[in-house]
Amino acid sequence: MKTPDDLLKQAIDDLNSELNQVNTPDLTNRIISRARNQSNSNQSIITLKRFAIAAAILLSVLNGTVVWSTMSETNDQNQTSELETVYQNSSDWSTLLTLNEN
Amino acid sequence: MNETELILQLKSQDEKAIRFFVERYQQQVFTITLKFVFNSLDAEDLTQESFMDALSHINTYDEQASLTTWLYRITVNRCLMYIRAQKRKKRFAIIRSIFQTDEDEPIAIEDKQASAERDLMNLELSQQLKTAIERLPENQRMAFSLIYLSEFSYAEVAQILEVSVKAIESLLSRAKSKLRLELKEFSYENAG
Repeated sequence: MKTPDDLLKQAIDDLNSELNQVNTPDLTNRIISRARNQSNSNQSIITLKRFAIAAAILLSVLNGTVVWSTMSETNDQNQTSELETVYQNSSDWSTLLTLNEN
Repeated sequence: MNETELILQLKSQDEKAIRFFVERYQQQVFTITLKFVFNSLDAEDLTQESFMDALSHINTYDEQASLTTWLYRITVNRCLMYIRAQKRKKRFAIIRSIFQTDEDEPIAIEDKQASAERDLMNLELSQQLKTAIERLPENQRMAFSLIYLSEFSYAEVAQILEVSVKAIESLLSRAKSKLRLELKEFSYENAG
């Protein structure tokens, strides 16, 4: 009867000789094709991200412009109404000049 | 092409470099996976996934270990993920069979186990070893497979698994004790 060590050694040899008969497949083209697809996919994602960032910047600039023009208009309207009030209420021309300068 | 040039070209996704990389290492990577999972179809998939992982993460390669060691480490991790997935599938199959309600097919886990044990007795020694290896804890299985089946040296396996040589020796000693015990039972039953 074989010792446990002999049995293990024989089992390892049998298993190795069985597995060594399996041929290594050539996976080169498959891997290259997947790598190429992954690279293209990554490029598309980068492009989309850049587009999204550019759109966000453009929107915020436009939004800022609209807000600024609205504020400017409001300021102008306020100044105009102040002047009108002064015209209505004041006969002091020096006051009018000071307001205009502001 | 030396290793430094290869790494630079892989980082810039050069196709010739990728081809060179795969052709140079695919045999060894396939051997590691085959001698871990004992199934050539799964070994092919694992080989592909290992290379894809390496190519996806090449920019994180910090050159502390050699490119070869780094690639084999990725391969070992892929193999570990595979066996964990296999264990989850088996657990799920057992749970599913517990909740089986078909009267014609009563819960048969014990019967299946007894039948599997009878079948095992009739298997060849190499098949019995495969089954015994699959029952080892992950780290023992990995160390045993890399040393005795893939035929790496202790130093190489220590680098791949990022442990000391002494730790590898300890893992192997425990693995071999378990395997000797299982094969001994097999030989007694066969001598029967």
